[in-house]
Amino acid sequence: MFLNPLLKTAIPVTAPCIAPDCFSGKSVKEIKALTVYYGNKEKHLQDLFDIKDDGQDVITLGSVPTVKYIGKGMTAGSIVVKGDAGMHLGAEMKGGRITVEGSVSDWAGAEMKGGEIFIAGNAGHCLGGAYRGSKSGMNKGLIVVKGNAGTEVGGLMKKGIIVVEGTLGDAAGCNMKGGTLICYGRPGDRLGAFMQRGSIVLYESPYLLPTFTYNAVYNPTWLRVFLRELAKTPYKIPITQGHIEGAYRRYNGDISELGKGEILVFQG
Amino acid sequence: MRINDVEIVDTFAEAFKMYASRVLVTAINEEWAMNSASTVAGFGTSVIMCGCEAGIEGATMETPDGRPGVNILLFANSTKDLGDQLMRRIGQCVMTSPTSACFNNLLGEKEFVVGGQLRYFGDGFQISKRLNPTPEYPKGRRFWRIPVMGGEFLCEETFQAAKAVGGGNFLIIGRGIEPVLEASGKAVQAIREVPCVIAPFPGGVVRSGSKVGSRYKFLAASTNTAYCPMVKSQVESDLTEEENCVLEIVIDAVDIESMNKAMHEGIHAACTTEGVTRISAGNYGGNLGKYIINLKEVI
Repeated sequence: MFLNPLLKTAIPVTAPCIAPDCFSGKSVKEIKALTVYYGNKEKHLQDLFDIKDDGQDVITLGSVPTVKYIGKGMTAGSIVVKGDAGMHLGAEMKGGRITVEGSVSDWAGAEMKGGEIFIAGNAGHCLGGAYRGSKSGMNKGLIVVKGNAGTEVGGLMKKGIIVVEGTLGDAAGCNMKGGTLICYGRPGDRLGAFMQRGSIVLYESPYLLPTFTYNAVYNPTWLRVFLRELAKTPYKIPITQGHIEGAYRRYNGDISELGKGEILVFQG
Repeated sequence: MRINDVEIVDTFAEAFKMYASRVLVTAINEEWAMNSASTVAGFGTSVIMCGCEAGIEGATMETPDGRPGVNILLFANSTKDLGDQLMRRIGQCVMTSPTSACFNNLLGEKEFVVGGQLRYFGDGFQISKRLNPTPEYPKGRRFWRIPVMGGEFLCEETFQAAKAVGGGNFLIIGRGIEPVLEASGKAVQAIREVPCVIAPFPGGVVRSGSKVGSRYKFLAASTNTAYCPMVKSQVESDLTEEENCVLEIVIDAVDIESMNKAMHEGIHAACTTEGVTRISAGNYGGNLGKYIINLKEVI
């Protein structure tokens, strides 16, 4: 199914119906009649998109930087965005795969529970994060960002893996409760603030909070397993043999909290 | 039927349903992986007294962490026994071994927690890591990182067990110990080339085959007198006058196809030694085992 946006607009479009689960079993006519919100106005999907059945199982969209909640809660199938995507992409998704060829706005993969999100460009704030008041953010699944990511990446993350090849904004991994955050670029300030558990793996030297304490230099076996698994994904993550076999400096923290989180800094 | 003038006795081996697990031990190099693996497989010749039958399947570089690894196959009569043995052996022989890590390497219908119990050794500093789901592991593989003096011990939370075949065997009968031992060595070497099988006894060979029952009430099994040359004239012996030595090769396999292949390769290899007179097999009249392995069919 191919959805080409009919108009360029700064007004946000709320379209959680753009998901394989929602399209499944529906005719093109029924899909065209699905409800979306254009600002605060109720519309049909066909009012905003030119919808064509291209015979593919994949939902393909043109660039939709203001369309929110694409793939929300999806459990299977694939979505490809041929450009940018709006806020809450793949929020609460449980399975399937979303590929964005451009950049995404805030809250991508928020509270996701499975599946994979690949972002070729940059990601906004709160990637894989938890909505305000929630106990945990991302809980299983994989997010790969080729570019940079905003602030509070992986906030309250519980399980799953986030890979950011560019830089991280401030407070990445804040309140982390588990899971793994890997960053190839420079991280921002207050990295891992209040983290209780979980792992942050860095390939650039960070500025660490004083509530992280140095432990040892070693080659973590678990990271070898994880990096080798990530290298098998189709996302061309820049994992080298040196990253797999090299030594990492281990810091634990945040000791103002439980202190069982860790930051591993690649030493070579 | 004869192979190289060695008679293949028209009989069958009787094998039993067992459960198997494959444990993959990795380490900084193959030497240390083998140190750990050989300890895991130690004292694992027979379920009768050892709790399980265990053997090294072979070294491999196809490991989750990319380090050299060694596969160990363990067999037991029940998944409970197998789980118990895995806990003991991984806890005492892998966790203690420098640089080692331990992974499940066999998908089966039963699952038991191993790393999830060993984690308590971490005294609260253990850390769980979970990979994303795959078709083989729909829940995602979960590992426990246990801090140890040498660094960190990584162990998979659960190991799996699959239905398997144990107790396949054949007897190599010959004129003396030298040719029979040489033939046994060749047979075991050939069997070790077959994947998914082990020969759990020392060097893969058993010299003290047993029969069911004994003249002593407290003993359920005793020496196989029919094949003991030193009492040939005192019992109803199955040996001829010229036959002075019998050694047994016992095989456990993950499936019956692997068992048959191992029997085939082993028997053919054993028949290349001069001085070997016959190949036979141990059975209980076909009444106890689930699998009947007819020697003439497997060769």
